[in-house]
Amino acid sequence: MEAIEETAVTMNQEEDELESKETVLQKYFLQEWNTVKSLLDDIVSKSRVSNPSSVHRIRSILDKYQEQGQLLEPYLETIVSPLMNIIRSRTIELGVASNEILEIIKPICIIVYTLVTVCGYKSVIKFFPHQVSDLELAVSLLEKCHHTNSVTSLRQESTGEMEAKCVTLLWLYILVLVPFDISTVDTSIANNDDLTEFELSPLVLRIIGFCKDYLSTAGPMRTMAGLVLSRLLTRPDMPKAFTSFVEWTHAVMSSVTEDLLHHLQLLGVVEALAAIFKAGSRNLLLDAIPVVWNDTSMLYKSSDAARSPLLRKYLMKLTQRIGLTSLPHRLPTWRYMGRVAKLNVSLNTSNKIDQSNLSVNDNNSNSNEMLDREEDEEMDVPEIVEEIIEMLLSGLRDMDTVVRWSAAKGIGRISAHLTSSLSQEVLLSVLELFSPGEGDGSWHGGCLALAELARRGLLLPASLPKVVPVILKALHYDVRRGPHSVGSHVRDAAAYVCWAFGRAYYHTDMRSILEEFAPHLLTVACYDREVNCRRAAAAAFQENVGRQGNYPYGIDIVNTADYFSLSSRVNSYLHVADSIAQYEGYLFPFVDDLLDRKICHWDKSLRELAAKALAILVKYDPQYFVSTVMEKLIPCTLSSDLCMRHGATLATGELVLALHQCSFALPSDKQKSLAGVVPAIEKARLYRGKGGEIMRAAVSRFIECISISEVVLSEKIKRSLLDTLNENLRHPNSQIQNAAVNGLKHFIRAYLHASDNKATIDVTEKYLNMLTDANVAVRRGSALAIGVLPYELLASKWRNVLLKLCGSCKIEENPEDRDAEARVNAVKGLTLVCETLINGRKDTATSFVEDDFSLFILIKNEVMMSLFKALDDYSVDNRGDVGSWVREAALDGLEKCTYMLCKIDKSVCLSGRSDENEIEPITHLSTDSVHKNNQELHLFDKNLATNLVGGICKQAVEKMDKLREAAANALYRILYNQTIYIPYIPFREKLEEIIPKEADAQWAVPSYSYPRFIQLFQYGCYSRDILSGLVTSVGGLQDSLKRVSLSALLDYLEGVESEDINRITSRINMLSVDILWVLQQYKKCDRVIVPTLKTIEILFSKKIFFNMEAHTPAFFAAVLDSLSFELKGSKDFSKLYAGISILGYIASVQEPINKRAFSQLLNFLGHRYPKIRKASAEQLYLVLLENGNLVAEDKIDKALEIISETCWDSDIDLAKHQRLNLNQIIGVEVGPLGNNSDGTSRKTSSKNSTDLDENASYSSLVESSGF
Amino acid sequence: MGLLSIIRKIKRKEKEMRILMVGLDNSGKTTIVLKINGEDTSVISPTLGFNIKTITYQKYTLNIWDVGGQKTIRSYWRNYFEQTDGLVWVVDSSDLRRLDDCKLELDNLLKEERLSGASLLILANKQDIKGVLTPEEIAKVLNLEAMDKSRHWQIVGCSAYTGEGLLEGFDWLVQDIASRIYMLD
Repeated sequence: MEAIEETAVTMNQEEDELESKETVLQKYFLQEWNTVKSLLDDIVSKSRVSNPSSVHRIRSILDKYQEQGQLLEPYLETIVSPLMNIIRSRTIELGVASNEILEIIKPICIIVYTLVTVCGYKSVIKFFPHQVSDLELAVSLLEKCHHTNSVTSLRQESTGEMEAKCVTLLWLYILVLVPFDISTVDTSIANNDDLTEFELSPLVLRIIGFCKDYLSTAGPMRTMAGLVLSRLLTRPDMPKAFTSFVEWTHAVMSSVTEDLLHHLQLLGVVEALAAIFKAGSRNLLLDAIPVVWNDTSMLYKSSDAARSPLLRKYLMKLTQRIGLTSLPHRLPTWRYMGRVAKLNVSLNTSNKIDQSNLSVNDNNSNSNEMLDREEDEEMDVPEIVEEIIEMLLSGLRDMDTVVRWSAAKGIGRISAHLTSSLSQEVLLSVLELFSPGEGDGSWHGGCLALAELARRGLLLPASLPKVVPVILKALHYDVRRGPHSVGSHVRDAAAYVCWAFGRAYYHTDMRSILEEFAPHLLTVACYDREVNCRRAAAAAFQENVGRQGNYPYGIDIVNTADYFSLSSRVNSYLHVADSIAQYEGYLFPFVDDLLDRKICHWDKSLRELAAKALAILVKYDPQYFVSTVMEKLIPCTLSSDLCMRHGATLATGELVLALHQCSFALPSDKQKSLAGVVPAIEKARLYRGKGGEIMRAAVSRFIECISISEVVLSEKIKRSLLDTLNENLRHPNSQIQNAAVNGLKHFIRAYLHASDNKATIDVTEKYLNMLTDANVAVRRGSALAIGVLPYELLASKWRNVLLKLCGSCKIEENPEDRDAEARVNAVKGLTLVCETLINGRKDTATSFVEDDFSLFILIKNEVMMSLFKALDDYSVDNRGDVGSWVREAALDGLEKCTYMLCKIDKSVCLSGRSDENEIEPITHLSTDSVHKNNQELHLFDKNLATNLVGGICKQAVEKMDKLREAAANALYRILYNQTIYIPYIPFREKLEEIIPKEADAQWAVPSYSYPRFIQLFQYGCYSRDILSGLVTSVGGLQDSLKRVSLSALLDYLEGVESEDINRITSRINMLSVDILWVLQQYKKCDRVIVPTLKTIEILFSKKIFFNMEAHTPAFFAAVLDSLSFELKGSKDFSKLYAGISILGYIASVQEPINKRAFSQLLNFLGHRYPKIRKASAEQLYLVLLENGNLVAEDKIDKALEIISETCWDSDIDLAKHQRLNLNQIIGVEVGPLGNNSDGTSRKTSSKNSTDLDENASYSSLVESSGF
Repeated sequence: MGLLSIIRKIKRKEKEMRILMVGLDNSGKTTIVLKINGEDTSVISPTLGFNIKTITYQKYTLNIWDVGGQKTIRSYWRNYFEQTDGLVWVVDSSDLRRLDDCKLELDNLLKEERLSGASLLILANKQDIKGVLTPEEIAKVLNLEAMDKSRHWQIVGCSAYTGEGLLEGFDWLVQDIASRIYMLD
């Protein structure tokens, strides 16, 4: 059941896009049609499919139009006719005896069958050939297909066998309509003319034979066989065949075998019978009814039917058709006739009668009713019909939607043939489905049936008073089931009924009903949880209003609540509902719906939204909300139902706030009861157990709302509320903490400053102490709390507050205490406190007291430094890069503090120059000159500016998308700040070029951001920051990022934009220096070193750094120094691999330095990790091939042999032995044998290798390299 | 299967066509709708909203949406999947002064993607008044020949007062739509 609803929901979501998809597809098909056409022409010209891929190509194109079959219909004839002609002519030509014919028709049938699935069989078979002589041909062809049940049936890709069977069956479906006696067509009879009149022609027997076979298959052939039978057996020359088939179905339906085959056969038989009863004439079918009906009703009660929705659906179909056959054919004269004019009639006659038209109609219907009454008496209803209606009614209750649909249509069709009194009884039975004991399925089925009746004019306006209340209930049907609820399908179906009513009834008949419907429809349109229900209700409203012509505010409402505005729940609740509520008649239904159904909804987010939506409506009638709504809500805050008390608490809070915002003064008794809400909740211990957390957040929000509204509280309650907030502040759940902080912010401003000074100081002191609490949750909460304290509470002890917060921003020394969230909150709190302190000073701009300056200096020195440190927080835990949260907060903090410092600088300047207080935008130039005069006074100096921009740029090239974007945006705001100009930024012009003012920001896209930021390499003050960030991207793990950032780097180094060779060399030189700086700066810090080594390795592989002349050996030597230090004792494989690879590159160069790298590499052959030994052996092999002068020429072959023959990753002793051999061959003496390469060897000072003598012995090299 | 999918199905099954009637104010849209619906056309006031009228023609059901002021129409035809099959643009042939306005509004309307498949019938109304522009002249002013090649269009002179030309125009529209979407039935 739920699964169905879910699919219904997703279906509806998919439909959103359908309409626009259709337009696109339409345009698209015009192009694709040319492809299809040329492929088809090729097939037709060769009379066969020569290339199987063309079939798949056609099929894949056509399949796309599955939902929009009508787009293909204009082309069907051009596709189908020639293909079917090929099938026909080739069958004649080759004869069915040959096997070749199958191979020819199969691929063609695949194309035709694809069209059947896209456009429906009815459209396609119109273009099938239908000459009398084709009948035998098709039968033989089908027999041929039928008997070649191939072994390939398990293959996934269709070979066309199934399609061939289906297409031939469909062909037969057309051909059995030949208007001649089939026995005259049958050539086998012509041969031996001894057929008696009681026997069937062999041709017919053959058809019936394989159709019966197909009835018990699982594929689409089952349905098609049923269709063939329905036409064949209802032919006037086939009564015998019909009778015997019905006997056969009786045998099948009454058998009790329980296996899959029998089940399939049941499906086939019932489906075929349903088709027969649709096609056949009454006279033929009447005799069969007793038996078939008996079997049908028995089968419906069987376990087979209980298990299979499909079988029940077919049974519903068959049942209603039996019913229709049993009833005399008549159009009900009592039916409601919607007044639909005929265009041509009214145009031809309108000259003569304009108004009389209507009155004539009225007369007609009156006289019809009279006639009808008389007919009623005569009407004889067979007994069987009552049983049938009974079964259809039970089908409306079915648990499956498809069955309910079929039953609803059946009820509609059958009622159309009943007398008015009988159909009245049917209606009453349908209405019984809406009784309280029935499940959601019954309500849904009932709605569908009512809509069907209305659409057919079978629901007379006289019955509407009985029907309307039921529909109104169904519009709000929602039944809790565990943690969620069911009923969206019922609400949707109820909207369908309203829509159907609008179309069925003449607008004057509908007017009063619409007035009843409208508030309910719009309530659903605004406040239903499901988008499909909201849209359905709005569609029903639109349809009705459009037909009324002139409904109060109809056009405005339809304009507001349209398909798109309702797609978002938030928009529907907060905007659409708001504008509809202004029209008369909707406010109270809206409020009632929110109060009765949404405030206590099971979906938490819906409750929160409902509380806000309720508050929005306050402005339309504040008095009503105070006297009635609040009265209802306050007791609910103590409800035993969690959803109810949570929703009610939130709603009450929002209500108070909204009343405050429209300046409505609450009477004192209301204030009193509001003050009592939280203590009562606390007293009832509603924070405990399940739902306690939900209540905590709601209570904090409530306190926030009453604080903003300044509801009068007693001292005792104030204390108790503060306790509540403090309690929530230490809660580990961050949502609760945030809610508590927001509450605290307004609570303190509203209630605490007025009371005695002692308490206020206590609060600040208390939170300061909590900053160093052992409990991380307490630390997190207190940092945030300090951030929202007002100036008055901070002013007296600002130094202590700032210093303590700065301390909390640092990574905690004790690893056990480390908590990224606490640091994030500290950074945020620090920023907020600075803002409060700066903005709260009494005399802004003109005069400064001594204390102010020490505050500024503290911000400049301590706060900014702490924020810079926080920007370097790269802590990792099992959640990953948690330091990134701190860095993000630090970015924001730095940006804000920069603005503050610059503002102070500016006002100091101004006050120094003149007494003018106004702040005017100052041009770039004039500020610069001012700055020169007052250089020493400036808080925000060049050093700070460089660090700031450098730090941000570093974040802008690191590996996390989110941070890169945040950093780039921060830089953008700093460069183009509207209120204050940020001075001293080095190379500002270049930065403005990189980050253009009009940029349509794509900073999250690496290929956009990297090439821009890499330009900053040219400037020494930024290059190191950029590099230390960039290596994490280039040498990182994420492939796409690696590619983009590397290509940006290479483009820069290879000077894509300039041809100047000197410039390129200098760029590379600069980069090499910066790389060495990074290696020094981040010693043993694998987070940076590993990617840096990888970056070096990649750059080596691109032959960068090899042409730096004098710099090259120096660079190599420094890299080797760093490597020997970094790789010693390292257990990090990626680091070791990168290191070995770098050694390989250096060993391969022709400089003397290669020997040192070579010997380091040799040492790795004895490394304790087998994989490392193997990797270094591979590297050595390559080096020796590359660089002949490392080893004497006569020994090189031997050395290569040892390297390649030895199994380096097996035994370590063997490896060490072989390394010794190798050393001897090459002529290297080795230091003390043992594990000197695994990091335990003694530490030796690295020697500056640039002045290394080429002739120095290898052993000293080995020694100096530390292995 | 929700209401919105039912609407789509019904539209197809019952051979429904959705026709949007638009044009400048006082061009006679409502009069035309009333005329073809066989209702009284003697008292007409400006349409302050929209009307849906259902009329049958041959085997088709036409749902005609007669919309008032142009500025606010959009949500009517974009709502609820009822894609517009036909567009009737009514021109007041006697209102020479606003013919440029008329052209501008029509051009804007035809730019709408969702109307791209709709057949366009232009009714040059008020042909019963002496000295008005002929349909051919209006076609020239509106520069209809320059329209996108994929658009099916037709201009017909008519009079909502006498009813002349209306049948011809709607007959073309219905046949044209039918040939696109129900060609097989």
